[in-house]
Amino acid sequence: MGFRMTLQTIAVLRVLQDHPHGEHYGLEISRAAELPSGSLYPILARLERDGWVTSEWEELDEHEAGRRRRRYYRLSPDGIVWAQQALGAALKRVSSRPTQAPRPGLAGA
Amino acid sequence: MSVLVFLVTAVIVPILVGEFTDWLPWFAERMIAAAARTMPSAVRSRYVEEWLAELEDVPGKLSKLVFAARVLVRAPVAAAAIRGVPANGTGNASADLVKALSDLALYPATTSGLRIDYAFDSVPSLPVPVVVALQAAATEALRNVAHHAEVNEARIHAIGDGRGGVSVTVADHGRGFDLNIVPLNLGLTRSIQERIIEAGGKSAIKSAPGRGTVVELSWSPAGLTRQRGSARLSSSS
Repeated sequence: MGFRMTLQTIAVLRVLQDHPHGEHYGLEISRAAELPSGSLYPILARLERDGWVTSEWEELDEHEAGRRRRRYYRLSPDGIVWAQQALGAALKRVSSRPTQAPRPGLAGA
Repeated sequence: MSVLVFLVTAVIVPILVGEFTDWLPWFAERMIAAAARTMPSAVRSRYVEEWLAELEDVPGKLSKLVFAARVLVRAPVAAAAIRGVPANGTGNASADLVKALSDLALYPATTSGLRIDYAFDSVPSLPVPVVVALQAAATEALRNVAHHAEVNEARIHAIGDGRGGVSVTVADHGRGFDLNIVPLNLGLTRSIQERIIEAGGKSAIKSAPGRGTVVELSWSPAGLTRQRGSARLSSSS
């Protein structure tokens, strides 16, 4: 069985997918996805654990900038493909080859 | 007497309020630290730093406190997610329709303030776009109940067909209407209908004056091939 996905997860993926190479940090993602800030971190933690999303520290001189560095999230190369499938393309693929369910390459396999 | 009132309102209260609001950021940071302590030790310092940076960005002292409280409440869930076993086959995503429909009741805006009576029976796991389309259609149907049916209650039933498909009905015991007079798209706006059809599903409305209204939404994996066949037919004619 695949991966059970909540609508909140879909909202987060949509935000990341809109700018796949952008620098997204938690507060900004939760605003764009219209999620309460607390709910976002479990979703990101799971997506990161499963390889959909990667994160890295902002490159910033904290003393010069006068603020803390942020943690930036983006879709992984696999995550970009999976998100496209999850958000709609998967269905079109099913309809073009009705006898063969899509089994894309698996991250962990 | 008036001197005392002046002292309290103009001096003492502002000092107390100032004192209290000065403490809020400190409380917020303590809560972030407590939230991070629930995380696995390997990632604890990362999350302290990450959440403190986010906290800095939240405007307003009270909002900071609310943010920190939310993070604290959800931190155990995040910790469980990190400790959990990675899911495989993630590209073949499916979604939980029961949860998607149940979630509607959490938001009065989407249910238009109606009381909803749910029934679910062997609902299968479905492709994400199907769940999204069904949820949007059910929301739209509820909006119509609220606006036209003159009742404050609706039923949502979802039943699996045992072959990977599902049927969802949104029903009310309200005023109903004559399908011959009222435009057919009353129950479901065009865009919602299009989304259902695009996802390979079907929709139908049953109603009569005084007999309530039933919106039927259905989807089955087989519907995809049928839909494709009919689309080809109509484009060639």
